[in-house]
Amino acid sequence: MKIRTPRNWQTGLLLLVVIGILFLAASGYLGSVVRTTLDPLVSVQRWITSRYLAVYDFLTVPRDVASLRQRNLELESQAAQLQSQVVQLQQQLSEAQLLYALLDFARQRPDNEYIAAAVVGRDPSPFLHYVIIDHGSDDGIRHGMPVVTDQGLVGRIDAVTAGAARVQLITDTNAAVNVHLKNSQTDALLSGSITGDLTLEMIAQDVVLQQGDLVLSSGLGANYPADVMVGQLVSVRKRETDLFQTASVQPAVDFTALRAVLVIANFRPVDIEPLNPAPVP
Amino acid sequence: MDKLIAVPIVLVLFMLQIGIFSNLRLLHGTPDVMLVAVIAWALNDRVKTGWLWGIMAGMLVGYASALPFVAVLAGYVAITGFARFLQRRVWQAPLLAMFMTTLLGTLMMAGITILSLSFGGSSFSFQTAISQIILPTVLMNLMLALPIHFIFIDFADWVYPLEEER
Repeated sequence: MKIRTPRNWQTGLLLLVVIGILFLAASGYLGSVVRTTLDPLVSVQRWITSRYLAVYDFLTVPRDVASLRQRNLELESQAAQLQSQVVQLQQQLSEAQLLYALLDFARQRPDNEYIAAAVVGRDPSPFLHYVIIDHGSDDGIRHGMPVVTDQGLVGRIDAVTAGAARVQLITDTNAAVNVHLKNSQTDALLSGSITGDLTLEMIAQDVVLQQGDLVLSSGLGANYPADVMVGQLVSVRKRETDLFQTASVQPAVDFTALRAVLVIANFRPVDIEPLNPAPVP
Repeated sequence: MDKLIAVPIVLVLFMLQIGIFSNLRLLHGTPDVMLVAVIAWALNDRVKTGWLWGIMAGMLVGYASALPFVAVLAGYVAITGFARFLQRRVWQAPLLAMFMTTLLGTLMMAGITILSLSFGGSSFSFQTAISQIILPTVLMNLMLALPIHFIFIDFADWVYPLEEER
């Protein structure tokens, strides 16, 4: 006679076995068994996945290269635009700094009227030191007006048209500025040269000159306003046989990088030529 | 057409000269692109407006420069005349003529400038003028001569196209 286990007993036994296995697994007694069983499965799974990914990459990479190239081009174009913007902003920043410096200079001397102008060209001859500015008689610029920057004296207006003017720099060979040496408390004549070097002349032999002495315009001769920075004394040449000693001056203004200037509009030079005694025949 | 085109080209060259080339310094010398361009144009055998270019360039430079107007204009006209003369004599060696005219033209303009400054009462060291200004200017003009020569050969081909043989 076959003994038949009731169905609910079978279920209950199965449940107990499952719970027992789960209990053993949770307690860690089945770790080695599980590891031994699962490790080959995981290895196989890893192998299948890597092969699948290789096939997937093989099929999809050409499309990705095209899209990456497109994206690269877009980014390169964007980078070029941004670089161009950076250059523009740097240029605007340097222009703004220059204008702020000129504005500061103008504010420090409220008694003067200034006309700001940009330097647009230089004299074609390398022997001459002249610059061309973009403001002329239409803007109130007249012959002889002094030209300065925040760094110091630049020169004076030499020729004017309606929309432009030519400025003779103090470094020009025909330029002469009456100056005053601040520490030595003496006057001298500053003259330019064909190479743009500045030389102090007409300094008496008994005057003691010091390197680094500040050179300011004296206002004598009424061609330039007084007390405008011209430069700094660099070296002195003194010979016993000479009537005067001479000195080299480092200009305060960097004439090679001159971009914007201020024309002093309310300074009118005085022509003292008629006051000079006529030569006796 | 060849006369009309001279105006914008000479104007552009003039603006390049005072805006860019006058700032390019080797010691104290600067290149004279106007002079080299006038020479290159005048040395071309097909060109009929060499004198026009020389006069226009001389007038523009004379107007902008602080040198006496007449001296600059005379200098440019003389150099153009010399280039036209040389073009007939050494037409088989255009490069040699270009370099020779550039060298002599630069020295001629330097001489005119020195004379003008001396008459104006300026005193300067002649040795300094040669070593610091004239020689560097000659060198830069000679360096510019070759590219400008070839540019103006192509330009002359465009302005005066060769007639096709039938």
